[in-house]
Amino acid sequence: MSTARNIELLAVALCVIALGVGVVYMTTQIAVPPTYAKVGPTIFPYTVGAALIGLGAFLFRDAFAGSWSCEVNDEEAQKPDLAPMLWVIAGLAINLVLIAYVGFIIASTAMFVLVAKAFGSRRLWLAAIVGFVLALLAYFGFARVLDLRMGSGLIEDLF
Amino acid sequence: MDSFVSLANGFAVALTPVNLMWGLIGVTLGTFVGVLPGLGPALTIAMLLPITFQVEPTAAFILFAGIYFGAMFGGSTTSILINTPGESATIVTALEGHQMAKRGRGGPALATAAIGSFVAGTLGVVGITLLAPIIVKFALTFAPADYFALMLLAFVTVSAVLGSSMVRGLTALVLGLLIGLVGVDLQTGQARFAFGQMALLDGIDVVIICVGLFAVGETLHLASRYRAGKDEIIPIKGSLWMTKQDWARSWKPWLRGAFIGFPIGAMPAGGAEIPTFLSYFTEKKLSKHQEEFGKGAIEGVAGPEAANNASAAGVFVPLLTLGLPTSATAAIMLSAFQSYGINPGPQLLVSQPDLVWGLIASLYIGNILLLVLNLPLVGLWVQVLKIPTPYLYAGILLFATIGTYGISQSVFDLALLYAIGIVGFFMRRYDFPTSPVIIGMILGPFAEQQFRRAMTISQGDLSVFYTRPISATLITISVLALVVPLVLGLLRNRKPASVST
Repeated sequence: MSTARNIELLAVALCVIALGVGVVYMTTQIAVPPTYAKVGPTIFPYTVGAALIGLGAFLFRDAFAGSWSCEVNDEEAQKPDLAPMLWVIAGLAINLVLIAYVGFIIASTAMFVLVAKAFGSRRLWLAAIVGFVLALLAYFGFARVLDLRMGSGLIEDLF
Repeated sequence: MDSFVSLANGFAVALTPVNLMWGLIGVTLGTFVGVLPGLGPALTIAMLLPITFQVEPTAAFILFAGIYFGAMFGGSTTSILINTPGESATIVTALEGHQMAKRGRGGPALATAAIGSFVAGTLGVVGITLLAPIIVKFALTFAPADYFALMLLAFVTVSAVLGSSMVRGLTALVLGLLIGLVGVDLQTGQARFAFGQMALLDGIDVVIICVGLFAVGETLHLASRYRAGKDEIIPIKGSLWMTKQDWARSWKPWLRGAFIGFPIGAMPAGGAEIPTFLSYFTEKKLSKHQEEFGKGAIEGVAGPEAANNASAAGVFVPLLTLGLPTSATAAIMLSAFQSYGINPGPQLLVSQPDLVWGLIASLYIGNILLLVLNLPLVGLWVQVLKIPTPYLYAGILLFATIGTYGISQSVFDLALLYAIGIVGFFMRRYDFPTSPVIIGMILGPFAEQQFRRAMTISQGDLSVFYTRPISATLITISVLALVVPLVLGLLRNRKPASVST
């Protein structure tokens, strides 16, 4: 039971190590002006990379020894409920795809509906209305009060 | 007594109608988000950072301070009435407070929390007023090496000493440091970790990280488990007011809580967890009603709430005098200072007295507003908890989107925000703390700057860090804070082994 789950934690530790290696590699690509050779822009990145590798190793040891307690190996914690999460992620994705084309208000209304669906909303038409009004209010709150240009869009251009 | 004259000036600044209005907005908004489970002051202030483009600094910081204290008040309301402590600092409040609510004494629990916070806030403001000038005097002698050592100490304490695992805390911190490195290096103009993306050359905005971790990540986390169980709101029955006995049992814990909380908050370590737990155990030990503990002892609410508030006031001491944030919220405030081009530090008290003392005075005014407005309105705040969950979380994501896309109109930033949110979900799943990420990314560039400045002055000689007494002391403490728990852990592991063999 717990062996299968420990693999997940071992993978996390390996990811941290891999990130550290990536950081160190990328740091070697930073050109250092000779005048800064001693305390140049690479000292901190190297330290950060090395620290990630070291901490990743410690994490690996914790995962291996089973001393890393979190919800993954907590017998009482239930597994994450995937369906609602996927609805949320779908909402985020649709916003990303649409926002540049139809503007914040419509894209975010679409996201609102999908996220409301994720959290068990049944009357999606009502969620759409609530989301639209909220997006409109948020848009004008931000755009007008803070005088920020919020970009254009189908609804935004009507005003 | 000079500082009390300055404080009086601060009150003059904070009490202008416009600033009072900002304080009122802040307190209301702060209570609102504090009551909502899963939202906190750091996130709210991060989302309001664009306001710094429009509003003068004093007003903005009065708003932020109002949010900070309002959120704490709201947080204790939630933990008393539905037993879901939003942040670690209110876990203790939930212990006794929720039991009191279950026994129909929710009103007095809320009252002792609010009045205790007010008492502690008052003492905290006096504490800041007395302590800040002394620390400033001391800090003016700091060289870059000393600053670097101080930041090192803060890094170690916020990530390794507090929290459940030193390794995971440090990993979160280093992740934050890495995020802070992205962009053009100011000294040499070299791009670091920008992947050739124009959008990354200016660095990653703290709003994206903060909103990603705290709003998007939290929503994903809640989506993964909301079907598992529903929290029950306990209605407030009976009188809201405390009886004579409640007062008699509360005032000493308030004072003790304040005296425990403020010094710990003011230390470069920060954190509200330790003072609240310390206060709880102190009260438990001193109480004449020990049998009530665990069943709703009012001392167990009064003390920790006061400690929490006093330590929150204490956090402003290192922030304003040293530019050292010791909580995620303080780190966001530091980045607000940056966006005004103000560098917090010992010079701030001299160069921006209106701002600093206005802010300190507004902390106090915020506490009064909370007491006057929120306690009678607590019934209204409870209604906030009745917002349907689907709309609440969909709304949070909507505001998260506008908070980032609204500033840059960059789809890249939005994608980054959502990606950070997914990272935040996994950090939560594997029990990595998130505050060190924020502190690391804000404080990291300062630490690097001081380190390189120190090395430039010493011409590359590392010995500056251990020949200067201040720096040597601070570094020694940091190393000890890392090594001692490790050694103790090893000893503890070895003992049972030697017994069994």
